[in-house]
Amino acid sequence: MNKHIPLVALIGNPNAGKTALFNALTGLNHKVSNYPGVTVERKVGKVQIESVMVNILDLPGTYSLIPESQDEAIVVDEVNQWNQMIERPVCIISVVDSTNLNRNLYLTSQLLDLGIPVLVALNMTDLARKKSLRIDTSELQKKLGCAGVVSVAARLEEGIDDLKNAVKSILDEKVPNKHNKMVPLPEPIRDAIEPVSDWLMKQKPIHLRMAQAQALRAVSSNNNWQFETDGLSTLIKTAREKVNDLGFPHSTLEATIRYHWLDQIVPPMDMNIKTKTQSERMDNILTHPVLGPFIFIGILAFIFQSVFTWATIPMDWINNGISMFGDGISGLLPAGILRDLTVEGIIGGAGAILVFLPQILILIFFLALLEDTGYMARLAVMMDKAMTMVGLHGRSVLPLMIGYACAIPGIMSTRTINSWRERLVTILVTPLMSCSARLPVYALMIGAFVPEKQVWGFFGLQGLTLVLMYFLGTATALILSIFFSRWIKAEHNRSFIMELPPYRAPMMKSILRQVYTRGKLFITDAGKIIMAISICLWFLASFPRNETDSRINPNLTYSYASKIGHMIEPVIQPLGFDWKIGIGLVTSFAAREVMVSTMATIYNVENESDKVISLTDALKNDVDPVSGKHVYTPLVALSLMVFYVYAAQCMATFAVVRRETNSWKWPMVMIVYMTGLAYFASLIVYQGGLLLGFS
Amino acid sequence: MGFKPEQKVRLIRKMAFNGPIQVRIRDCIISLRYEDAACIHIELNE
Repeated sequence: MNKHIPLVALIGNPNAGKTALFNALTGLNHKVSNYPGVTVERKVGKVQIESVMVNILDLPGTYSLIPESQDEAIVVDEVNQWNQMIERPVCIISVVDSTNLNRNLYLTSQLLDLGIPVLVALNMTDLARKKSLRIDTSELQKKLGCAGVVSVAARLEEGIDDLKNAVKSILDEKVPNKHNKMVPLPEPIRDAIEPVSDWLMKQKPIHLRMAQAQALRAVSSNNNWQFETDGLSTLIKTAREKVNDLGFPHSTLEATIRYHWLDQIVPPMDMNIKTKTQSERMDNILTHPVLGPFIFIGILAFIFQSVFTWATIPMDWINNGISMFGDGISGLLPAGILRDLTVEGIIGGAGAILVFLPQILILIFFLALLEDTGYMARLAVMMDKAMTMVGLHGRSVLPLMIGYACAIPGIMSTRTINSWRERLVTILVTPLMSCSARLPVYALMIGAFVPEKQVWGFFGLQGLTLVLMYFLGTATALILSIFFSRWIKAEHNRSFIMELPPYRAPMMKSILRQVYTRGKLFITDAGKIIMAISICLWFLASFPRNETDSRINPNLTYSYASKIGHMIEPVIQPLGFDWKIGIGLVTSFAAREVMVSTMATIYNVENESDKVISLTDALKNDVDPVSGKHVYTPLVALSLMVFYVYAAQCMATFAVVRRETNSWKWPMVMIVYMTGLAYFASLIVYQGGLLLGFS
Repeated sequence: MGFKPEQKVRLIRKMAFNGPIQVRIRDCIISLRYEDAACIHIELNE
């Protein structure tokens, strides 16, 4: 990072609105939602304040500087780095929820001890105003002894300029950083922890205040790796005994002292906790022990049904658009290799994928909606018991649900799970949740081979088949969790504590932004891979050219692709797959959706005309030249879909698992178990189907 | 998370099959498992 650009760090409790503030400051569009712990990594954005460029750092939310989970540990590691003068920020913006000041300021009081100027951003002042809470900012600043207090409403982008000005005056060193006051320590306690703070000061050149704060934390927190040094741990032990003798249980010492101080500054309002809030009334229904789960199932069914029914309209437009575009290009270019490559390779291959964009966007939209309203947090609570029974955690629900869109952000979001075993098991099974990259494969097969019938009057058979595929992946994920959690060693930390954010009306702007970002990612990232593979594949499928053979599709028959495909055919024949599907399986190791574009490219090459053909029709009409039977039957389609439910076919996922688990072992485990599962499940479906008399 | 000595709490709801309970602390709703809640001493009031 550029050393000359000053750094400003955003720190605050989960759901205090750090990311919303980050977006408002930097103009970047990062995901904001109503689920504690959406930000799970550090992010940096730039902002121009007058003539100065400043880097803004967004960190995961934490309740204190004693980490409970991976995402909180990221914050604490970052702060420890600053203590060693590495990438130390010029100022910290402590983001607090104004409607819950007393508790939010606890973290602020810890930040004040770091010796870095602290600006308090009183966020959600709009909500505080509604509750007629009035906060005197200059009074608060004086009492806390911080560099400044600014009222903002990040979601409405109010007060952002005031905050920028406050940062500017710290940059200009207009604000002296001297009147910071240490949380007053009663003398006996200060004496008790003095050996610890003295030891810390001898180790590192830190000032007294920071040494005392660190000593206080070392004595209070039970498992803190940073203080595990031989000489120090005996000192800490002695200090704890002294403190306990004084009548302060050491484990709550830091909290007792800090809250004692904070209660004088912002007296906790004696709120009437008997009146029911709006959210509570909604929870009476939505998290009702009996009704709640049914509502959830209803919501899921609605989402999957709409993915299939609503999306068909824009899908038809895209389909027609692509074939018109292909025809147009085909008319412009002279016949030859260039035309074949453009029409068959690029437009045929990439176009086949583009068609599924509407379905993916609808799915993302609903997931974002569930998160933004606050429903997802309730889901974690409702599912905790069931999840624990299969070896997972209530907080595993969000990663698994995100897995329906993409396993990668799902795996990242497991960082909020505070126990390693539950987190690892969640990581291992998340790729079994049918992600949006499988959707094109399912949709293609279902569209071509499942009749458009109604069952029980209101369910479409096609939608139902899709739900079945999702159900298969989900059920397997849950069952395998039991085995994985038996296998992986347990540790002690098995707790579930979660704040339930108030329900709020979804911010359409932020949801649509997410949908847009995802869609763009799909088109650009996936598009690049698909484009490259489509072009390579077109070459492999079209060369070497054979002009002497007079059969209908000589190019494909003698091509390299055909040779590769025939090589793997014996392995996949028992699953009902022919060599063309074999090529698709090979190419989809880069990413699953490539399967569809592979098929499209192959069938376009095979087709003699210069038009872009419909893949669905091509699949339906493909006949084996020897036996004269159809290559694809509903049974083959089912076997193929089941294969895709389980198969490990996403390089990016393995890279993320490698990073999150910090070992090659777990990605390897994942590849082996998923591939094995895919093969055997498909084998059972196809051979079982044949035995039962289906063809 | 807002649990501190002498803090007033109200039990809002228990989930089915001994799932996590929900409690209200001031304006916040916190959900926690039985085992975690058992670590907190409470005095009944009213």
